[in-house]
Order: sequence, then C-alpha cells, then structure tokens
Amino acid sequence: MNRGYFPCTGRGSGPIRNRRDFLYGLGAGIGAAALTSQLAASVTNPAKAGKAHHRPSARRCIFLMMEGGPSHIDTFDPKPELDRVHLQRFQRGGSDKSAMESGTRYYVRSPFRFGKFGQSGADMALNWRFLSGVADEICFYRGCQVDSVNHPTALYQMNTGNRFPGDPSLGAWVQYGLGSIHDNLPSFVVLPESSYPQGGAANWGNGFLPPEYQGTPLRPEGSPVAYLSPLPGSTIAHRRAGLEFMNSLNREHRKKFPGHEELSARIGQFEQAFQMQMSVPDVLDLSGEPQHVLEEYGYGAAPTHNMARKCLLARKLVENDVRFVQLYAGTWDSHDYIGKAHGALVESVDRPIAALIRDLRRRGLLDDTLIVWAGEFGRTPDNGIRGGTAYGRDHNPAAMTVWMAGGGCRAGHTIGATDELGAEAVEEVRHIRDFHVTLLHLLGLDDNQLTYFHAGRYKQLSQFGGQLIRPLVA
Amino acid sequence: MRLFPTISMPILTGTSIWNQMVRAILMLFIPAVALTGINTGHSDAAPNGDSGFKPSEIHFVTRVLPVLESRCQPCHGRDREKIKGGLSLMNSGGFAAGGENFSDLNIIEEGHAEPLLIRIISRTVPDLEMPPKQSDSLKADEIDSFRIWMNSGSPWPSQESIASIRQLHATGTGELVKTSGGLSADWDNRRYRPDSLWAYRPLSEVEIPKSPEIENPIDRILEKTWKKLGIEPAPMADSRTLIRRLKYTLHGLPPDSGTEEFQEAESSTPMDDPSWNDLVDRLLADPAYGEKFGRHWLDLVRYADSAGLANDFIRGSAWRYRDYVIRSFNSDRPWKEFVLQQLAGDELPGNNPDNLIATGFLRMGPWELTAMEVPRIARQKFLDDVTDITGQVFLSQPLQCARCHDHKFDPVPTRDYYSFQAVFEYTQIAEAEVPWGDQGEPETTPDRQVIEKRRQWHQQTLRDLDTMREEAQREWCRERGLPPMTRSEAVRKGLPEGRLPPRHAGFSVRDYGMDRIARKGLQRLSWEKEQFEPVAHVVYNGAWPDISSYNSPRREPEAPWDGAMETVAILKGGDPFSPLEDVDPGALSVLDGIGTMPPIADSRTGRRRALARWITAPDNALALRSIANRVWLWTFNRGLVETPNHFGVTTPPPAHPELLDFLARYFEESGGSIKALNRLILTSRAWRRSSFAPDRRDETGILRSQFACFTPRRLTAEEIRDSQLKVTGLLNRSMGGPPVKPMMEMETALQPRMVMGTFAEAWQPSIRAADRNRRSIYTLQLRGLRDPFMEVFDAPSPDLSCPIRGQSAIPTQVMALINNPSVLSRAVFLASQIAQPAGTEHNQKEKVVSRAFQAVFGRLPSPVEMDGSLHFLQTMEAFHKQNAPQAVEIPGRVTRHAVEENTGEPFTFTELLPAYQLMEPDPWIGDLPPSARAAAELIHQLLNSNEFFFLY
Repeated sequence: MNRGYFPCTGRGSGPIRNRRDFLYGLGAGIGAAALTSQLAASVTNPAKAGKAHHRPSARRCIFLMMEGGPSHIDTFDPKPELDRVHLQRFQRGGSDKSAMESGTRYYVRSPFRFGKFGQSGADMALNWRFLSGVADEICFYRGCQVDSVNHPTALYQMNTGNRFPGDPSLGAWVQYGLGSIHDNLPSFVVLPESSYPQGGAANWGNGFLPPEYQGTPLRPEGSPVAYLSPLPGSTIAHRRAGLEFMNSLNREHRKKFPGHEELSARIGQFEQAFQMQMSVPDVLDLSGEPQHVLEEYGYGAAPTHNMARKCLLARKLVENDVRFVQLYAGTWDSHDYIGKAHGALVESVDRPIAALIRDLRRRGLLDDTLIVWAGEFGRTPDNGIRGGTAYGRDHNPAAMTVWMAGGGCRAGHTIGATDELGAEAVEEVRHIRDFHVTLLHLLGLDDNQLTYFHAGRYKQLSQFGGQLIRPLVA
Repeated sequence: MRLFPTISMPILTGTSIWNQMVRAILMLFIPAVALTGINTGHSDAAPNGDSGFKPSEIHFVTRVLPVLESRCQPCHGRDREKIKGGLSLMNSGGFAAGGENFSDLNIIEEGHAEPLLIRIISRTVPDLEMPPKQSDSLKADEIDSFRIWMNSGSPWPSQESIASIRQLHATGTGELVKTSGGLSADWDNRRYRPDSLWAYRPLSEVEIPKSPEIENPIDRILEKTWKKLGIEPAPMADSRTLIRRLKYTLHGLPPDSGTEEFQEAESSTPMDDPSWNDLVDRLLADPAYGEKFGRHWLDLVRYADSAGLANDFIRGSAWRYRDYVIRSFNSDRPWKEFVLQQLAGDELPGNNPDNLIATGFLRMGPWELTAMEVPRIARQKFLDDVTDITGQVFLSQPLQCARCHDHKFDPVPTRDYYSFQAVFEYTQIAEAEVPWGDQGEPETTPDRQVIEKRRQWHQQTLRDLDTMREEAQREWCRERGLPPMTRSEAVRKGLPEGRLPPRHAGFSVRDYGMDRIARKGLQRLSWEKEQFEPVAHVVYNGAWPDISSYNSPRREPEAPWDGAMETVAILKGGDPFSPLEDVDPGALSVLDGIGTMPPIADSRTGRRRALARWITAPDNALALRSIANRVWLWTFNRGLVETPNHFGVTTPPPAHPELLDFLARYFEESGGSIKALNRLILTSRAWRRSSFAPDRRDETGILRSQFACFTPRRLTAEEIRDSQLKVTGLLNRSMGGPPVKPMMEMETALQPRMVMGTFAEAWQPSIRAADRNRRSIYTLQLRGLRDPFMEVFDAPSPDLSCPIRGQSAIPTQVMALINNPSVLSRAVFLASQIAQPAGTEHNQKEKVVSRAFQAVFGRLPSPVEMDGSLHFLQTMEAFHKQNAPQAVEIPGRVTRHAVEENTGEPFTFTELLPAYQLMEPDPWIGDLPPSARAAAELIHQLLNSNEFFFLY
C-alpha cells in the first residue's frame, strides 16, 4: 500500500463535485473575500459558508403557502361590482385559453361580506376574525401575476420561478445564499399538509443546487424526518456504542488514506447525526407551550388544530434559527361552493396565522422574520358551467393577492390593484419574478448575484433577472 | 514593441496615480495580447499609416465598441423608448451627455483613483454596479480596454469611420462565425474568442508521440504532457485496489468472493499486462456491465417510470426502454445504430422490436396533457423538451437558451433552435403494441395480484356509492311526491332538469372524496397495468391528433395523418401563439460553418433519421467529442471536459484537447464501439495509477486534472444498495422486466400525495423478497415519490439530465443507513449465515468477526480491528440479552386525513395495503439468538463504514 499524501487536499477535494460547484456558483456571485472564507469553511457543511449581499431586514422567513390558489376576490380584494353582474352569462374563447378560461361563463359574486380594518383600513372579508386584528402588521399586494393556469406548473413557478420542475426552490436559494445558522437542525424546513401537493417534493427541491439545500419536510406523524427515528428498541447507550465502534473502524481506515478529507468529514457526520436525532425532536416538542399560547393558536380545537400545530412549529423553528420555513395549507382550489369551501379554509387558518404574527411580535422576532402568504395564482370572478349551479371560481394567473408581514415589508399598506371585477391586475402590475426578487432583497440577497452555473449559464431564482418592487419595502 | 503608442498622448482626465496605473496595466496587458495571438491589427506607427486611423480609434472599435454593443447598449440606447438611467451609449454624444446619476463618466471623483466609468464597470460604485448581473461582469481584460481607451482621450469615431475600421481590422478581435443567421445583425457580427470555439471545430489530426516502450496511445499522449508540465505521476496502484476499482467501474459492484478476479485481488503479486487485459475483457463481457453503463445513460435521458406533473401517471412500459439500454451496452451496439434507433427507430425498415422501443428516448421527459391545459401549449412543451434534450444528450449543446432569443454565448441562433425543432414537427406519441422480441414475455410476478386487488377495491367503492346514490335519488323523488327513480332513469324518460334527482344525491364529504379516489385510481391503473402488456412508449409520424386530454394509454392511430398539420415557425419569446416565420428542418448551422454536414430532408418522414445521420456523421466533431468525453468520464470518474452536457463557448477547453480528439477519432474508427474505448482506457497505465501522489500534496489539483493519478469517489446510491445486498448474499441478479418495488422508508411510502383532483396510492413493496432484492436499476422510479434513501445519496432527479452524479456528504446519509430497517435486515441475513448459534467460545467469536470482515470488505481484520470488534460484539450481546427485539410495524392499511377539494372540508379514509399483508418478510433480527444479533449489529456497522463507501 502506498503511503503518500493524498493529492489535492485543497480545492477540488471535499464532497468533490458539490464543493467545486458551490465555489463555482457563489464564487462568481460574491467577492474574493467571501470566496476565501468559503475556502476556509468547514468541508462538512458548505451550507454554512453563505453571506448576505447587503444588510438584510429579515433574517428568517416563514412562507405560508396556500396551495390550490386562494381567491383574492373572496379574501382581501372586495369587488362590489360583482354583485351587480352576478350570474350574468357571457362567452369567452380563443385557442390559447384553457377550459377554465373559455366557453360559457357566469359571473359569481362573493358570498363574503367585507370590512376595513386597522388604522390602515385594510380590506378583509369579515370571516378573517382574527387576522383582521393584526391588519396593520400586513402589507397586501394586489399586482402580482404568474404565467401558468394549472396547479403543478403554477405552484412550481411560485416556489422556484420556473413552471417546469427541476429548478431550486426559494428556500433552497436562500439557504444557498445565506447558509445555515443552526448546526443540528436543517435550515430549510417544510411543513406540508398531510398530503403532499401536486408536483410533490420538487416544490421544495434543491433542483440543480447540491442536495444539502433541499427542503426537509417534517411530517405530522411518525418519524418527523425520514430516517430520523432510531430503530425500534434502540437506546441512547446502544447508539453510542455503535457510534464509538464506527469511529474506531473509520479512524483505522483513515490511517491508510492520510489527507483524504472526505473521510474525516464523514466521521464528523456520524456524531452530527447522533446529535440531530435528539435536537430535532426537542424542537418539535410542543408540550412545553403554556396553555394560553396553545389556545391563542387554536391548538387542540377542531378546525384550527392542524394549522395551529404548524404555525407553532414554525415559530419554534425560527426561534431556533432555522432560516426558512414553508408551511402548506389547502387546498384552496374551490371550483365549486366557494362560500363553503373558502369559508371552511379561512376558519382553519385565520386564528393560527394571526396568533403567529402576534406571538412573533411579542417575542421581538417579527421585525426580522418575514412572513409571506401566497397561493400559486388568484381566482376568476366568473366560473364555467358549474358556476351556474354551485358558485365557484376557476384559476386566474392575471390577478391574485399576496401579503407579507414583518421582516421589513411595508406593513399597513395595500399596494397595487385589480380591475373592477378582479379579473386582472391593473396597478403596480408585476410578474412573480419581481416578487421573488423582492423577497430575496428583504432577506439580504441580490437576485442578480445569487447565481449558480448550470447547463451553460448562470441561473437565478428570477430566471432572467427581475426588478425590486420598491413599494413593498418599508 | 509598443502596441499602444498613445500612452504618451496628453492625458485629459488623469491624475498621476491614474497615469501610473494605466502604465502598469499596459505593461501587463501587452504580453497578454502577444500570448493569445490575437492580431490587434496595428503597430507602432501613429497614426496608422495604412488606414489613416489613430491606434486609439482602432482600439476603440475593435476592443471597446464590441463590449459596449453587447453588454451596455441593450439597456443604454438601443431601445429608444426605454433608456435606463437616462444614459445612451449609442454614440459619442450620448456618452458625453451622461445620465440621470452623473454628468460626466470621465470624472475622477475625490478619493478615487479611477474615472467613474471604470469604477462603474468594475462594479465598485454602490447601486451602480454594471452590468447589473454579477454573472455578466466584464472580464479584467475588457475593463482594461476601457482604461486604455479613456486614457487616450475616449475617442469615438463617426459611424462611417467605425465601419471602415471594422472592414480594415476585421480579423483583429476574434472570429466571426457563420450560422443560419440570428434575429439581429448584431448577433451575426458577434465575434468569438478563437479558443472558445474548440468544440465546434473539426477533430484535429493528433500525432501520437513515438515512444516504443509505451504501448497504449493514451499513455503516450499523457506522458508527453506530464513531462512537459514537470508532473511526476502517481505510482501504479496495487492489484487489490485496482480490481475493486475495475469491478465498480464496470459493474457497480464489489469483487465477488470465490471468483477468479477475487483470488487475483487477494494475491500479492501485481498482475501482469496480459492477465489484466484478460480480466478487463472478462468483466466487459459480463452482463452486469450493461447494468452499470446503462445507468449512466438513463441518468442522461432522465429515465423514470412515471410522467410527473399533476397526475404522475405510471409509464407502464418505460422499463422496455430501460432494458433496451442495458441490452445495447451489453451487446456493444454500434453508436450509429444506438443513436439512430433512439431518435428514429420508427423510421427504420424491418420489424426489430428494439427499433420502436428505443424511441422511448423521445418520451422520457416529464409531460402530460390534462383537460385543464391548452393543448397547443402542452404540445409545444413536448417539442421544446425533445429539442433541448437531444442537444444535451447527443451534442453536449443545450438548446433551450436559444428558444426565446439567439444564444447569448454560443453560436446557436434561435433560427437553428426552431429548425432543429422542425425535425420533430410530425413526431407524435403513443403507447404502441410492440411484440416481446427475443427476451420473451416477462415472468408474471405476484405483484400483479396487488394491482388486481386495487382495481377491485376501487370498483367496489364505486358500486357501493352507486347503490347508495340510487337509493338517495329515489328518496329525493319520494320526498317530492314523484315516482321514485334514479337520475339516469329520469334522464332516459326525458324529464326536465327540475325533476331530475341530483347527480350526487346523498353524498357526504367523504363520499365525494372516495368517488374521486376510486375514479382516479382506476384511471391510474389503466397506465400501470401496461407493465405486463407487450406495449412500448413510442413515437410515430403523423398529424397532431387533436386531443384535449391524454388520460389513458393511446395506441397508434390507424390514420396518423388525420388531424391538424402543424408548421414549425420561429416563436417570438418561445410563445406558440406568436409565430414569426416558418423554418425548414435542419440541425446546428455552426457545424456547417466549420465543417460540412449532411442536409436534413424536408419531407414528412425521415427527418429524425436524417438528424441521427447528421449526429453520427464522421465529421460531426461536436457529437464525437461529446460521447468520447462521456465514455472517458464513465471509465475514469472524471471528464476531460467537466461539463459533459455543455461544450459551448463558455466551457473551458478540455483538460487535454489532443487526447479528447484522439479518443473521438478512435471511437469513430472503431465503428462506434463503446467497449473498445473502455478497453483502450482501462488497459492504459494511466488508469491503473494510484490515488496517491508520491511525495507531495497536489495543491493545484493538476495531478488529477491531468490524469496522473486516479480521482477517488464515494459509491453512488445504487452501488451502495446493490453492494450491501451483494456482500450479505441477498442480491438477486436476474435481469430485466417490469420494475420491482423494494421496501421504502415507511413514512415516505405511506405519505399521501395529491394528484390531480385527489390522492395517489401508497407505495407498496414487491411481494417476493427476491424481487425486492434486485439491483437498483430495476426498481420503480416515480417522479412524484422518490426513494429517500436513493435521493439522499445523490440519485438524480429524473426531471433534469444528469451527466455527473453529485458526491455530497451530509449527516442525513448517516441516519439513512443506521436507522434503516432494510439495511439492518441485510446484516441480519449475513449474520444468520456466519454466526454459529452455539459458538460462545472466544475463538468462535473471532471466526465470526473474520467472516464478517471477509464478506463485507473482502479481507481479514487487523489485530486492532479484531480487538475493537470483539469488544463491540460483547457489548451488543449484553444489550441483546437484556432487550427483546422489537419489530418494525408493517401496516395492513393506512388511514388518511384529507381535505376534499370541492368542499374544502376534511375527511378520513382508509387505504388497503394488500402488498404489506402478502409480502414475504425481510430477515428480522428477532429471529436470531442474542449472539447472532450481536453479529448482525457488527455487520450493520461494517456496511456503513468509510471503507465500504469509498473507492480508490
């Protein structure tokens, strides 16, 4: 056996492809000083090496993904004109329209009544009984548009900027840009509905970024993370014995390959995994929460429990320096019975979300935690044939409401507007890519600098570059 | 020689610091110019006697203006309506006038050494970093050109002068490339650094260095370079290391104990060349080769058994393409035939089933057409997908970038993109009947029963709902004093809407949910059951069949030309509703500009065949380099070009251009034999070198990049799983056939996931243990439900073409091994084979340790390892004597909490999991006595150790 030095312990070693790719991508993105710090950074966790491009107003983000496409018209963008044209029938056509945007259509009025809330006088449907109490914390935005009229492609676009699967998600980009804060917790956590959304895990995937940037879904039951729970019957002492034996094997082996950094990196990971098995369940344990907090979120009460659990976990995760939490609630795809379907959904999310905002405010975390509420598109003011009998709404990529709270957004303002029927955005009209640029901006990242070389070009979240939506920033 | 006499010209805006800097830069710059060999077109004489233009003007036109045109003018003046920052850089007037943020770009602000423009384009002025995207930053020599220009007084000649200078000095600044033509003249006039066009140029005539003592031409070429660079290569690796390396490279498996190669590995004498060459030949002939090399190909083409997106329908017969690929590598199918079959098998004469099966290549991308979609857009998506993937896979030239605009970097105009697309203009898709062929019908496995049970479950649900619904409809009538009847009876009687009982009479939220689950489930099964039918995912030539959704398998139509005839046109911004001008089918015109390529026929059929011929033409250097580089990468674990799917102008030239061209030519001359190229590489001395440098660290990485030592790697996801099965004696080596389903991490397997309108079924494993223990390449690959074990070890997402596997090292990998009941069960099986139940004597335990090391690592333990292992055995035995083993719970059904789509209300349902009830169990640790359980724990650790995971 040759006992020479292992070649190339510097550049090009480590998790070979990834680290070089990592440098290749970020190296072009940030200056030489940052590059040097990455080179010095731990091989085991290149994700730690990130650095903001400018002073961030938000250090963390909680993205409330209202999967299925909530109707702006029935939540935060009242359209009294629809009362007048209710059930008027009309035709819309064109070979470039999907079944949901063509044929015989009926206008459908909103079954919800609206009020103005907070000092800012924000429009909200009256069934937002709790969220209306924190209206002044919220910045509503009505100018956003997307490209796709169908779920998985629209959801992919909201999450990754691209309608087609395979691009990194927003959370992956943020983690790639900023790195993780906490050693033993994943820094991009996803709290899905009990069922994964259409398009599946690619919605929080790492795309062409290295796999350490992918979102880690925490499941409501069983082992919260794949393979996190020890095998049945295993005890801490049992695992410790295994770890020690493994270390002795690996140390013996390393002697034959001096300088092969991957070996040391992997030895470190056995210890890290051992720690994670304890720290993750700790964070997920809600038993220490006082009763009044649980009640405030609606934890334990039938319609709100599921969302309350996720919002509480989101708070605990960001408190523990998890960088990006995305939670799913849905499905808001109410083609029929809009009153019933949206009514039930609002009731299930209203109280927990309001509690999350208040709780973060009380703990002094809201100022540097950005909360985003969005679906993949808005809904139409009209419906197809089904609308004639069971009032519902179809998909609408041309108009939607998204909102933000905390994290340096322009709270207490409503930006942009849709036309009098809510069919299309008409003021401060911006493509989703600009919204993505704005989210990154608030998190201290410049979309034009947050790039990664893949398939022949530097790719970025906005796909081809976008513009900051200045009015959304405080 | 002074290239820029203007250095002594009056400096208009300079300070002494600025002045000194420019001198310093010029000193650096001059040798650089000399080195790149670019003829700057002017010499000492000032002004230039030949043309009458000043060198500074020539410098501006040849060095500065191209940058202004390509990088600045798009936002600064080209579009008069939108001039960013009020600054136009179209002419000297605009430059002099400045913009909103400043009035003079020449100004040197206080506290700074350089003019404002230089600082802006160096991206050092906050909020004015230009160009805005960091990834578009100007290169240092481009910024230097601006410095020199400003230092010489920023001359900006008139348009006429610019045109004359261009004509006189055309060759000075890089190479013009002739293509079919860009959307703008600017793009056509774009100049390329000559060395950046390496991939498109004809193969060079490589002169093999003469050195009689070295046999292999690869060694001759490499060793000459090493000598030139002063590199001392690593020594030859020992036999044991080499045989393990060879086995993984060719088979993806560890050496087989008890075989000849294993004994060779054990012997201490180094193998001589003839025995090494013999071994290489033997392993190349083994069918495991196709399973390993086929996997490389499947990564490239994005193989999956499902369609992805909203429905993620199972592509039941995708496996026939997978088997075709494995067969092709094993039979060393000539490259020409391999390409031709995949792109145009349906256009070939004869009735070889492989011809049709191979066209599955064109079907591999994620695609679907739902009733919610616009068919034209879905169709365009298919066309865009096949256009881009064909470019990436066969040409190492992604084409997607040219869909909306002429390629920003590569010489690929948008016109070429749509000409390439026109090759697929009449390409339609179908699930056609294709006879079984030589392999015969695949064996029917018990998994088919599970499909049948699922079908029965859904049908029963619908029957029950119908019974309930009909009764509720009658009840509805009774309540209204109408004669009781069902809705369909009422419809048949022609009753008006007001007297028809409701369609969903009596439906609870749960009933709505169950109805959708059953209907969708049956729709999904119509795809899945095709696994067992003589069907393949193919393409045919015809008109667009004018369908609005594609929810069940479609056979090839009898009249394929009935339907809408499409024309492929250049699409503005890639939008199928904004055609600009029709295009004829064609391939990449850049290669025509550089070599001569066969034309593509403009006929209804035969276009793809012509494209395949174009790709495999002996002078298609791009395609030949692409495959030669891939084979080198697959064999050497590192490419000569490190971006194997992209050889464009932004890609650094190969580590060893001569070697790549030699390999490409060798491949072509050997009739496109991948195995011949494998053999040439594997029998080189270079391939057999150690991973160790002799006496120093390789700080620059040059030993690896020049292949003077081997680059070690972690095993791939498949290799890890397959090797664990192999060394524990569980691996089932049978080949081919419908995909099998190993146990998946339980929460992931049962994780409910939405498909369009409802939920997909849970992952249910194959019933026979032997089926679950087949090689990973035969396991079911769902786009919407990926195996977390494979994923965590960098198995690529089938949504993107993957030319090189990632080799991440993250802590979740450790958990996926330690907390994984499947890994433990493999250890249990081996323990049951090697641990003697009665053996409690100390030397008995030593035997167990030795056997475990022998099986897992193929060697005996060292004394230190023996001591550690005995101690661990003892600890574990004590633990197991006190703790009764607990079984992992295997569910028979799963209760799901879901939200019903129509009503937004929650409901609960129970999904039956017949496979979990029927399946043969995996070996369970509880079936062993404590001493053997301790042995299983030992083996479990060995299976996860670094020695098992890394290849040197």
